[in-house]
Amino acid sequence: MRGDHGRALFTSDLSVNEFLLVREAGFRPVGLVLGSSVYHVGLQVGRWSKNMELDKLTQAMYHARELAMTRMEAEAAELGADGIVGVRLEIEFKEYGNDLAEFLAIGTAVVADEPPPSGTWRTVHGLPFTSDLSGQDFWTLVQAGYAPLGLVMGTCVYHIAHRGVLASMSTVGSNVEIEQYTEALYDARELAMSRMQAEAEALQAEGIVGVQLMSLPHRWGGHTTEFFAIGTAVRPLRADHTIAKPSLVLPLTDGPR
Amino acid sequence: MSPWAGGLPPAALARVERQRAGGATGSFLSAPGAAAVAAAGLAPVGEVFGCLVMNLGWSGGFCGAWATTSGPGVWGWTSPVVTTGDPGGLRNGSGPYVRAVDAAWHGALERMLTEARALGADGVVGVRTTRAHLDGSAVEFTARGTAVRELARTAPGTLWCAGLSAEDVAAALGSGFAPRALVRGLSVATKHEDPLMMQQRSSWSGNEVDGLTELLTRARADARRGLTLDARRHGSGHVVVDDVRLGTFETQCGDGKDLHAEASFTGTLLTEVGPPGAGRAPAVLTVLPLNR
Repeated sequence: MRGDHGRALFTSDLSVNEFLLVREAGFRPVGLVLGSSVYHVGLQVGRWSKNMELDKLTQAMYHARELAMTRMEAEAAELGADGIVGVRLEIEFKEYGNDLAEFLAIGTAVVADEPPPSGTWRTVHGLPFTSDLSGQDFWTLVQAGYAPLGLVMGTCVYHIAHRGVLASMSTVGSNVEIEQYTEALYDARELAMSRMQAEAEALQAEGIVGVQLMSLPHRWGGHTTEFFAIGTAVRPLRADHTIAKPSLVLPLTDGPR
Repeated sequence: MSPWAGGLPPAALARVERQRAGGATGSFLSAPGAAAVAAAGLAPVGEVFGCLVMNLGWSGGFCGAWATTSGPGVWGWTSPVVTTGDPGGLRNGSGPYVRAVDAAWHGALERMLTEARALGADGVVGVRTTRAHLDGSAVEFTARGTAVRELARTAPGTLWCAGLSAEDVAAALGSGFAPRALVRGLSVATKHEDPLMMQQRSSWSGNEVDGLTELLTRARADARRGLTLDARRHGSGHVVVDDVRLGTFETQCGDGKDLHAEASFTGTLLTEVGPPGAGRAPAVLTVLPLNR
């Protein structure tokens, strides 16, 4: 994609501030990249009175996201990118029917002006790094001597047991913990988080920043929920981290823009 | 009633006249936005508006995929995806619809720019475009923004506009990037429902529906190509995309149905002023805001 003066034209969905900060951090945006997968998620029903993971649904939700991410990464690799910043991972149910959802990964591919002290910005698998951090967060991270490695995620679709009549009767009118529910929610979240962690370990990350843990009910009814954890795995670029001391300012506007 | 002049209806001409004569200038800017444009050497000269109502009566011969081959029988297991950006694509399928929407969107924008030109502006910041369904097949397209004058400019240049907020325009100008134009790409992709898709949708286990992935991907790819082409008309630079949309709908086609995906990308073209990096802003100042 070349402009008429022989200079590259690129598109990005970064805001102007993000765009300028990414440049400031030593990266040039090279293009908007996206990957998409329309997925038929299928059906799996949990046993009425049992807490259990619905592994087929878990697999489908994970596979669909992975397809979208891989396609986005492939598009970035084709542009010769070192990484992708500001990645958004979206799920949208389409008008074509309830059983179909589009999984979409969208971000801005960037090329570094210089390689980092450790050699390459790409991941251990030779792919561009991915990160869902905003331009501002990305700049701060690089300033502090860290590099994003990759988006890591874990998911778990869980069926929370219905309570039997006897069990419900025994707690009528009293304020007590429903241990069965608590346990189910713990289990499901733990599964999602540990899967995310395993991905970070596979990337040889030092840690994960900006983790979001979501409960997504989708369209399965009240007792089936997807627990989804996502974050950016990071690694240190150098041994000595110097984190700039911030100065205090009082902006004249309300809140972040 | 007085007639249209210079592509503008009488009411718009009257408003331009009033704004020229009056001492007060209107703007859509917030107080921080007004401060930001002032800091970038710009002065508001008035709010500008453009509107075009288009009758989208004929959205094209649907069964677009059908038109390119000899009928569903020959496809067998899978059917092709056609987009309005394909060679000849504007003549079949949803081509007429895409052409009409493109013309209306650019028309509303052009009317807004005509108002700005009449006010002696150099640019328009914070442009917002809308699309609203009136009744029947009438659709209204609007564009509005705040026209600004460059205080340092001596001779009038080409009129620029930006979908970016006033603050963002100021940040861009301060870092050596000048906004040029609003650019956009629009595409509709069409695919006839084929046996493979029906099979993939009916299984109990989860799986990808290849045909639909292809449909959506092609619609977006074509819209992005359109965005790049539109940007090229104004020269080279960087496009900051601020609106990505995808809508889906289906129509009857023979015994089966056609599935359509409409994708659009809208952004602002920025060009680097002077040699690369010449106007780079001073190093970023790290601050810790006291609010929140």
